Amino acid sequence: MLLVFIMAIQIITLSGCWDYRDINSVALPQLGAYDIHEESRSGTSDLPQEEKLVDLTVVIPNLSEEVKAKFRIEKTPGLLIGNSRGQKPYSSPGDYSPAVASIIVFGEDEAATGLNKLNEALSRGAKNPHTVNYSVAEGRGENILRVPTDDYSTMGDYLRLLLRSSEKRGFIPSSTLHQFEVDQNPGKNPVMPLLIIKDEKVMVNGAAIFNKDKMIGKVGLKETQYLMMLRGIESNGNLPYILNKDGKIYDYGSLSITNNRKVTMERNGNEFTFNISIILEGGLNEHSSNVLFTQNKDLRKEIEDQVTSDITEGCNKFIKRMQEEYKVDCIDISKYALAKWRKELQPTIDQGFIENVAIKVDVKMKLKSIGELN
Amino acid sequence: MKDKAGSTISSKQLIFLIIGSQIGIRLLYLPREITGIAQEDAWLAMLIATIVPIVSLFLIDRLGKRMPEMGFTQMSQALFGRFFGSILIILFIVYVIGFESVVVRIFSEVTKLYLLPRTPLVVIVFMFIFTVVYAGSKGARVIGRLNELLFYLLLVNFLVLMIPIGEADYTNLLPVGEAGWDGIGRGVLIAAQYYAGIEILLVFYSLVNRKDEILKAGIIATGITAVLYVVIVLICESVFGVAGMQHQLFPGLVLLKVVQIPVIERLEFIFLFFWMGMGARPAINMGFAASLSLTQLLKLDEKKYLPYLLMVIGLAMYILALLPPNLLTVFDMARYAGYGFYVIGIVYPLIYLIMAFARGGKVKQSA
Repeated sequence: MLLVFIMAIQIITLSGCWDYRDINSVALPQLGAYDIHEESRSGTSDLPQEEKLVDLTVVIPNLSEEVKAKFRIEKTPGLLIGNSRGQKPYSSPGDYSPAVASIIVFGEDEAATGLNKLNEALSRGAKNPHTVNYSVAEGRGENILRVPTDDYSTMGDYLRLLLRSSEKRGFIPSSTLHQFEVDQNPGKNPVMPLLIIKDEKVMVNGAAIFNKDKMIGKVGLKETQYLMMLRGIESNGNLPYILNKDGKIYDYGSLSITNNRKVTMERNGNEFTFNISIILEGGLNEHSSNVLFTQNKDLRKEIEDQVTSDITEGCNKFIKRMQEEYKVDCIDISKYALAKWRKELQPTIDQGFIENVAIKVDVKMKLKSIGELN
Repeated sequence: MKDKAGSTISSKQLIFLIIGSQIGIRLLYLPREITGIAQEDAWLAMLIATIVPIVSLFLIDRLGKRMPEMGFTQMSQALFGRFFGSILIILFIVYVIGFESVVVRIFSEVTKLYLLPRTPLVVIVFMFIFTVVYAGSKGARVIGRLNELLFYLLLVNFLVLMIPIGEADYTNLLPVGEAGWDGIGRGVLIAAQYYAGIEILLVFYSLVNRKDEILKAGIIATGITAVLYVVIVLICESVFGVAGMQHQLFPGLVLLKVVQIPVIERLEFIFLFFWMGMGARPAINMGFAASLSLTQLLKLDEKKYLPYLLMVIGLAMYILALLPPNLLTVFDMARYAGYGFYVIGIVYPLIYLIMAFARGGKVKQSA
């Protein structure tokens, strides 16, 4: 019995010998940026012109309290991400472990070349979480990392709060590694938040549109709003409205809105018609006129009608742009066709399908609350 | 032979024992394997495949009812004679060693990949085999209780696996039936292999107290396994989609990496911590069954020699588990081992039953 006990203790502790690591010596990047390596971009790298190196820039918090800087920024080039990580031992002491990385920012140029090859290291590494948030930067991703953040410990902290579950705070798509992977399935395409630097501050300025793993376009904040509603990403956001009468503005204000989507479809031979019903619900935040709701019973309906009209018009414009310019399904409706005729449609769903379908939008707005004031 | 190899087990414990022998590490990769064949209809294939273990259960029950007090070894030798009976027993033991060494290797690979990347595989495999030998040496009653305890942990783990349901998209499950009879049929053939473990009843039948409850217990156990299997396939399909799932080696585990829960940042590590016991459990059950059969075949005192023979079987599993050069080869081996289930779970009881009918009263005499 004693022998068994000693053996058991030995076996249990045995594994610790190999996998033991001092936490202070581990480099745990919080945030990473993937960009095309500057030299290979300009054609001066040793690599063949058609194969561009990637720059991996990471923000690593300094765990020791004795050092002055809260974090350090490290940049290494490589063939792909794993290779870039492999260059770290030459310039950075300690073990590099991306297990707690929570944000990846892709440079615009890199995103346009296709991200699947960069995703490999993140998906294949068993330690990496699939909840890491994805975003695209206008210009180079590393520039985002270098913006000073006086109010937050690191840019990683700031971006994590900005991007994680961003749809709950505004009409901002949040995208994760898992969602990106799922959006590589037939009939699907990812969208990601688009980051810019403005007045020395990083902010969301719209969304990046993808054809599978390649970025093909970007839309501003207003269009992102329509994209979110059409795509059925349930969000909480702020919508302004303006009421006109006889060419004059008589009331304006803003609403807190939640959105929902229902999709039905019909098929007549090779003609597909999608009916997207967008349901908006929310409450009044503020309005400019002194009109009391109890005195003007129509005001509530007028606000609802105006918002309905604005959103319908915006959605239809977005659909037109999607079908004529992007030519990819970025509103995630092809899946409803696949759900009925998968075998028949799957081989061609990503080639010329979305451009040739009819998409009808029906918006229903319900102003459920006017708050405490009349 | 009763009350020698760690006493008898109740029919309730038999339920846990069968579930414990069926559900192990395979739960984490079966959605990929089945959807690879039956596409969106994988869950349907998984459900239809329950027919195979039920047939196996029915055959073993019929066989056991004819010779209720005979163990697998005595039964084999009584029906087929000492020579051929011994060959059948040895083949059963070889099957168990082969099948469970694959299970141990896959579980060790998962442990290495996710938890102990720098620990050599030989050490991890040794840790598992040590657990198998130690638990198995305590006898049938302890194994029964261990399975019961681990069953409740399995339920907790299963609830954890349900957490990513918020990421599910029902359209990934549609349309139903598009794989056709061919796709679903081939899916059923593979899916049925994941119910391997029911054949443990060949050995445990004689150790159960209430023989009249065995069929019911087996149906309940297979039913529970089927529900867990079908649900995990449905969740994986709806979260990843069929095409996306093919990129994951262990979709059941990656499932836990797609959600984030406050405080528990990395759900998969918590899950794996509890799954440790579940991974070793089929090997414990089947390893015990094999060593019991070997002890009886060699006509040794079970109480005295069973732990030693379990060590021999454990050593064989250890060597075999380390033989494949990589995980992909192990997956190939797992497929072949899965076909072995048809032989041991269906063909064995069938030919035993035919022989029992053919020999009629002579068997009772020789018993």
